[in-house]
Amino acid sequence: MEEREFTDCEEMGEQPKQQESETVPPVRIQKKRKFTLRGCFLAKLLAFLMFMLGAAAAIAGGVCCIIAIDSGMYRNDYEFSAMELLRGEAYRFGEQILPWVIYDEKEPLESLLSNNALEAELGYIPDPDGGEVEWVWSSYSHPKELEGHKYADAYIYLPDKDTLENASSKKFEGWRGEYAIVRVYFDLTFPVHNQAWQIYESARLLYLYRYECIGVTLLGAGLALIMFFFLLGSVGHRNGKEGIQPSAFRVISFDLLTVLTAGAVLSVGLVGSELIYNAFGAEESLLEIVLICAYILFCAVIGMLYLMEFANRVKEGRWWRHTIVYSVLTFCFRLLKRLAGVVFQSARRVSMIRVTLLVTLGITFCEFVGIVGFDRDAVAVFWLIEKFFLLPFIFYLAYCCKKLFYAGKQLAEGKENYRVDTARMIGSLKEHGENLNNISEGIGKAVDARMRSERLKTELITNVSHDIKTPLTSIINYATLISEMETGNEQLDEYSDVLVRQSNRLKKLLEDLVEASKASTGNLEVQMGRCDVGVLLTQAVGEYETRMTEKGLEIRSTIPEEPVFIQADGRHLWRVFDNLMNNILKYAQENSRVYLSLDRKEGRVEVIFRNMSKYPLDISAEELEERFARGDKSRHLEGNGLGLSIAKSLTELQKGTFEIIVDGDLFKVVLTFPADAE
Amino acid sequence: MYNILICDDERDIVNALKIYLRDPNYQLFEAYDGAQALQIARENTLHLILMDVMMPNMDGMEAMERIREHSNVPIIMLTAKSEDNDKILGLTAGADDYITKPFNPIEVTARVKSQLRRYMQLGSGVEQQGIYRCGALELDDGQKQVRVDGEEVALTPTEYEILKLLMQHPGIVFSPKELYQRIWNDLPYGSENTVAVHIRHLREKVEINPAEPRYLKVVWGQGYKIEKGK
Repeated sequence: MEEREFTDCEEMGEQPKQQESETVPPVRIQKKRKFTLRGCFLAKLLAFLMFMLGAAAAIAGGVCCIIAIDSGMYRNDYEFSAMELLRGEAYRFGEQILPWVIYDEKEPLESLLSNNALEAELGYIPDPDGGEVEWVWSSYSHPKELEGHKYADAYIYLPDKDTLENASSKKFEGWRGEYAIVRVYFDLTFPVHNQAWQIYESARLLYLYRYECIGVTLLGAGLALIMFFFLLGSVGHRNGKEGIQPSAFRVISFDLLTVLTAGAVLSVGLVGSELIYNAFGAEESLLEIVLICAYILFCAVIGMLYLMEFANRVKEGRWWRHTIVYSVLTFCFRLLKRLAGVVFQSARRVSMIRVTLLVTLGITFCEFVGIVGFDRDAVAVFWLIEKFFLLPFIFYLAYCCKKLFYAGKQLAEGKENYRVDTARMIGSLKEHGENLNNISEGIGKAVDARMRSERLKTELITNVSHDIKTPLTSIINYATLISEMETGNEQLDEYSDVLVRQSNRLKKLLEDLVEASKASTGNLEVQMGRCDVGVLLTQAVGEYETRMTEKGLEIRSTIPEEPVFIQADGRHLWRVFDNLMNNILKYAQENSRVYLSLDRKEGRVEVIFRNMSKYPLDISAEELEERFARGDKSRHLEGNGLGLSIAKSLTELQKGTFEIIVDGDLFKVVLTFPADAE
Repeated sequence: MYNILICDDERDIVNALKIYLRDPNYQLFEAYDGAQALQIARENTLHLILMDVMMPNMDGMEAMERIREHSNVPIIMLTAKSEDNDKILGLTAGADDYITKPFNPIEVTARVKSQLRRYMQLGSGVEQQGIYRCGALELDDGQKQVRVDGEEVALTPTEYEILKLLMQHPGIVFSPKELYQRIWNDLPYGSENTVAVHIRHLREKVEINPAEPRYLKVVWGQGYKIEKGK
């Protein structure tokens, strides 16, 4: 794999070489990962073993050094140190021997002494200020037995004199002083290597190598320390793999691991010491030292492993996440969060009135507690503090309410682009403010869109009609010019007449179209004023009478004597009448009568146009009111069908009603307007 | 010889107008935008201008305002805009009359003639007793004559009486009923229609376009009046 990568690199390096000049050295991308010591498992294992070795050496050397220092080997001679060590033994034995002697228990005493090849003496110093020791008991009968023995004294505190009172032996009569002195004689010539001999011998060895001990300790500690740091540094790294690799202990959460480690160390220590004590008793002091050393080493190794695991996790990052404590805390936090969410949600669901009630009740309760729980001065202070906190809040609420109220008012007045500043509001107030803003935005958009579309529609028609008018002007002009030419060609005259007539129709259609669009969208200026419908009707008759008479139509108008006033725009109302009269002129049966009537009915003014239709009206009244509706479906008559539509729109613009009634051939238009008050 | 400027950005319309106004008494100038019109107006003594409103470079309104700075030559606006507001705007900006597109050739020639006569007779019209004027409309009570642009119009006695009453009170609106009482000296029992018919005939005789009267105006729903001023 590494080989191939390397060759890949070579190839990549080769290519630019061929393309470019040879002076430019190819850029070699170093993809191959270096072999590192810290990634090597064997090295780590070796390091661990070396750590153990170093630690063992350091511990053993250290213990030896401590013993050596304790027994004064570095300051005194060998003999002194050996005696110092033997004194420790003396104390151990003395504490066992003393009660046996006092209570005169001979059997255990004898066996202890013979097993360890000991002799013992018991005495005390009568004078508290010092002086000769008075010996009261000894295990030997003659001092000759003590040849080849070395002795050490143990001073044992005897606080309770009553114990001596009850003693069976009379030897202790007149006992004074606080300390009993036990002198233990060790037989170093005894053929079997007893404990004392071992101590003496090891003390000799220790003394001999006392300086080497320091060296070994230091060296061991140094080695262990170096390995310690190497192991901590290298843990988690592995050759051929990117990043930090988790260890096999990864599954165990860190705090559990800590507890397990501590438990292991403690239990091994406790159980071990108990076992050793049971197995060997208190005598084997050398073995004890060795075992203690082993135990320390065990702790060091376990500790090392533990620290390595910790280092590994620290390197991986966020080591605390993989702990039970963290999980529990996170769980608790989530639980709390959800709980808070539920509480908050239910609080939101509760109506504002209930929340307010609850809060008020809470505050009242607090006040009650304050009043009951404190004396009067405290109540006053408590009350003041409460009001001090409550007042700004109430002011704030009032301020927000006022803002919202103002915004609502603005909306109601149609200012749809008013916005409430909700930045400094909280909870339901903020929500309400945002709702208001959304409403106003929605209304504004709808109104804008509608306005734009209406304006666009009218503008489009106006602009288009304007653009059409210019070429139409030329068409009408030149058609007229042709028709006025005296060509002597009858066909040409006929054709040009058609052109003139049709182009004039087009002109009228355009004008009507613009007017219809304006009237139907209300995009028309209406100047309402007092208007006498009677006069208007008279004027309309006057305008049309000549033309009507030409067609044999007789106008019969019924107009009241007194003026009939309505509120209307005279010009627009004229357009309505104009269109209706025009309609009659076009579609009324020749040589018939046309009836116009004006009436006042229950506060309304009614204008009725009636005529007989020239053609059968095979179309409903509703359809006639629509734009481009024509009495004749064949559409070969003049007119464009906009007249009635315009009349209707204009009437409605002036708050009137426009109704077409078709009864057989009778065509009837009824206009009603509200009568003007005076 | 009258110098007439025709100004429109549509060449076809200019040509058509030139044909309508083909007359030995007229010398025609043509322009295709406001700037050209202004140039010609500066270089020549014009007697009448026909001007479109919507033109490139400089629109009719602006050109008209510029020309008005140093000349009171009659200007007739040609406009495709038939809105009332545009007409009022044009008239207040200094136009003497207006013609809406698409126009009627007869109306164009009539309005041109009318404006020319009024312009050329300006100053000759001496204030005389018993002569009432409204623009080009003139009623001479002494000779019992009615003239439009100096040309006599034949009216029936009733029509003459109606016109005289209205011209004696320019700007005042007379209802048909009032007119009937004044002219016929009788109570009108449903005879107002007669008045309206007479007025219509009167308009047809006096006005160039009876549907768009310049002098004898209809106030719809109220009555009739003679335009005040001018």
